[in-house]
Amino acid sequence: MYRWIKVFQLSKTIRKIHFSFLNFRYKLKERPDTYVIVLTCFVLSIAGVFYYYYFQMLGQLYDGLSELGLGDLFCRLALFAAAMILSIVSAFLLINIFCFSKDIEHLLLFPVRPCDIFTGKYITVIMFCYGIELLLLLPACIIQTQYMGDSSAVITYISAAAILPHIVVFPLAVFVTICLKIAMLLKRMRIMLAVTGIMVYFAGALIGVLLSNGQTGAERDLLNRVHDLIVPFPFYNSYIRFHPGLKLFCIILAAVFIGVYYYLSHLVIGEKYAIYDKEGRIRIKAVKYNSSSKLRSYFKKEYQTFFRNPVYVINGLFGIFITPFLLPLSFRISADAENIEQIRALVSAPEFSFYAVLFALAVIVLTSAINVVASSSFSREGASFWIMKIIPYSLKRQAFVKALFSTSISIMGIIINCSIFKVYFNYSFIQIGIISFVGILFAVLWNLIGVFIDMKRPKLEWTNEAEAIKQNVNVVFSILLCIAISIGYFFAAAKMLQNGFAAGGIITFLSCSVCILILLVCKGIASHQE
Amino acid sequence: MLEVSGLSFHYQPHVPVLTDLTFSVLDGEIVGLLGKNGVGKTTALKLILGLLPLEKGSVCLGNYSLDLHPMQYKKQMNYVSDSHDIYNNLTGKEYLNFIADMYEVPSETRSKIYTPLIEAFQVEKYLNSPIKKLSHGTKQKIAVIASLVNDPLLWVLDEPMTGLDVEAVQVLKELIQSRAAHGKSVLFSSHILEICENLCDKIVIMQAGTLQKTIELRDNPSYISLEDIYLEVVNDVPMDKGFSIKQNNP
Repeated sequence: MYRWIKVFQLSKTIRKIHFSFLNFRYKLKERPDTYVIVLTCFVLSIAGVFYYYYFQMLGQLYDGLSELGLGDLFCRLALFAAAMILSIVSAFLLINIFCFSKDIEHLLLFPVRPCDIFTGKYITVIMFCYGIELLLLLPACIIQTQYMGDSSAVITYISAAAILPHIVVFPLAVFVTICLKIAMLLKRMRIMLAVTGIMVYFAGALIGVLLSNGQTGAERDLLNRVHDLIVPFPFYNSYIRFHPGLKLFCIILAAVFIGVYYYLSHLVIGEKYAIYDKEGRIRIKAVKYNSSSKLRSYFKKEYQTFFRNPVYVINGLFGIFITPFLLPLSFRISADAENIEQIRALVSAPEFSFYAVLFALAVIVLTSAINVVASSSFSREGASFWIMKIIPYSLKRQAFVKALFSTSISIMGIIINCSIFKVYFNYSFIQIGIISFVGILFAVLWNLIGVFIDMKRPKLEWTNEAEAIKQNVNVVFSILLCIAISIGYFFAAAKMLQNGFAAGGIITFLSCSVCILILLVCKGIASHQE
Repeated sequence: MLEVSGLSFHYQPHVPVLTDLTFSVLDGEIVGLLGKNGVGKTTALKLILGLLPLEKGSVCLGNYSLDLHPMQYKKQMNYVSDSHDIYNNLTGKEYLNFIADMYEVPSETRSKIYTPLIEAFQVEKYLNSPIKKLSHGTKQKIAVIASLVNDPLLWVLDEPMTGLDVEAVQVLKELIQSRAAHGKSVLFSSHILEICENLCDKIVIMQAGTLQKTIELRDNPSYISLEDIYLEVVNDVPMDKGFSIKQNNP
């Protein structure tokens, strides 16, 4: 029992280390800070709006399914969506908490076994997943209970929510633990091995799903295919038929998973654990010093510090490079070859070509808006921020170089997006030109906004590099602000289309207004006091 | 010459960290900043370096004020932090080049400045390794080398000996003395009184965010240690020995 108390205490400490936003309550005890109050109100109001629409969307989905006589599919769909989101989130959490973090070096100094720490970390990931589940499934549970009028849905959701994170996280955690052990034995960088392990796991799961779908026969209708595809967890069909009492009893599986992970990690890791980073090869060669301009040198420094750090690369580039691939993938899953041909015909049809441009632009604008490279640019400096302050290169110029660097990354995303639009959806070169031009303008604006926000109040105190991106309120603020502006633009474009504005007029309006906003943000950055 | 006058600063309202701090560092002078933990030494250094915004008072180096001519001011000074936090993802050589670029030092000049320092600190073999792989001492050596690329009028060092090996400490001491001999000023904070005693021309003792005493070490009789003077000043014990102490805030 004492051992388990220790494991849960460790988990509590690890939670505090990794989720510094949980220490927000300490802020409340201090004298209210205007910045914190305004930011909290803004974030809460935006989150409230999103949550309201999420609630409404789920309600409409349930209505739609009920009309089709598929009310039962709702719970399955909600749990499946939660499982998908948890898979992505938990993969990131596992990489961050198990691999990137150096806390284990300090925690191993205490009289605890490695498996205690690993189980503490596992519980930390699970607790975070519970938090996400609460947000995702509570509206679904309320809607379903309201419509069904009995408590059985509540029991189903509670028990499924209790075991779902374990079903998602457990195999991944075991994979990562094995990878860490291999990294220890080989004395190699643990991050690459763990990331490879997770990728192998997901690739295996995807191949498994595709192979099982391949055996289902060609004549099956879409509904059956969807039904087969959305399986939240193994044995779901048996589970859903359980008596409510038995479903509640299933909650005990959560404790079983923790116990099994504890003993498995002990079995894999053993009594001793050590971290090895790749040894830096010492290469003695003639040292030559080449001078270059401040701009070039600073840009190079930004590039080197970003791309040599896997934490930044994985956390910073995920949104930009994964999103473009999700688009054709989603089409691939939901549409057959005939549908894709129809979409291509629509894209090139004169009456729809401008709508296709606006759709592509919306994808690019939103992809650029979730770019976290700019909004964490000052925060990533961390403890070495003093260098930025003492060098004779004004902070505003440094901010512009940082914006230039993050824009260059956004442009890489735009190029990938445009290539997909060209190759997959057969957009014309003129369409691609318009999309690239306006998309780059928006990317410049978003990056300048991100840099401006992070410049004002950078988060410099962190122990793990991921905190500078993932737990940075500036990043959240910047993303929300950019999405809010994007939504404003979408409404404006829609209104202009309704009022019969020409395509050229709409593009000119978008370009000019974005240019004005760019100038305003530049002015804001330039007015920064040294 | 560095002139700090009337420097005041607070992190929280009504809790001043520095109050009316005034002192100067003459050309060719080595000045040590001493004081108990939390008296505001680091805050004072941060204000002098421009790491914190000036609230009250002024800091001038030569003809340039930090407030009015920040870029010219920064070009004339350089700093070695006590935290060893430099760009970990760059190699030693890349870092040295980056700092030299920022100070717009031509290739030939930087080579002339860096080469003897690299040899003196024996860091050639580490220059192509990422800084994050280096020990604290080696990082500190690279930070020291980089900080001299612009031949600063004022060299500010915060606990510079931390993590350095015996040979490197000796090299650093010689460097400090050599800079002073060439008319350049050095300001550093340290808790090691012996080093201050051997190196400094002047000691500035801070207490409760203000200047308590300025001690001209050259004028003091050699048989009395700095430790005695420091403890006497900090603990406010009356003194009957023949020290030359300028009381700034009676």
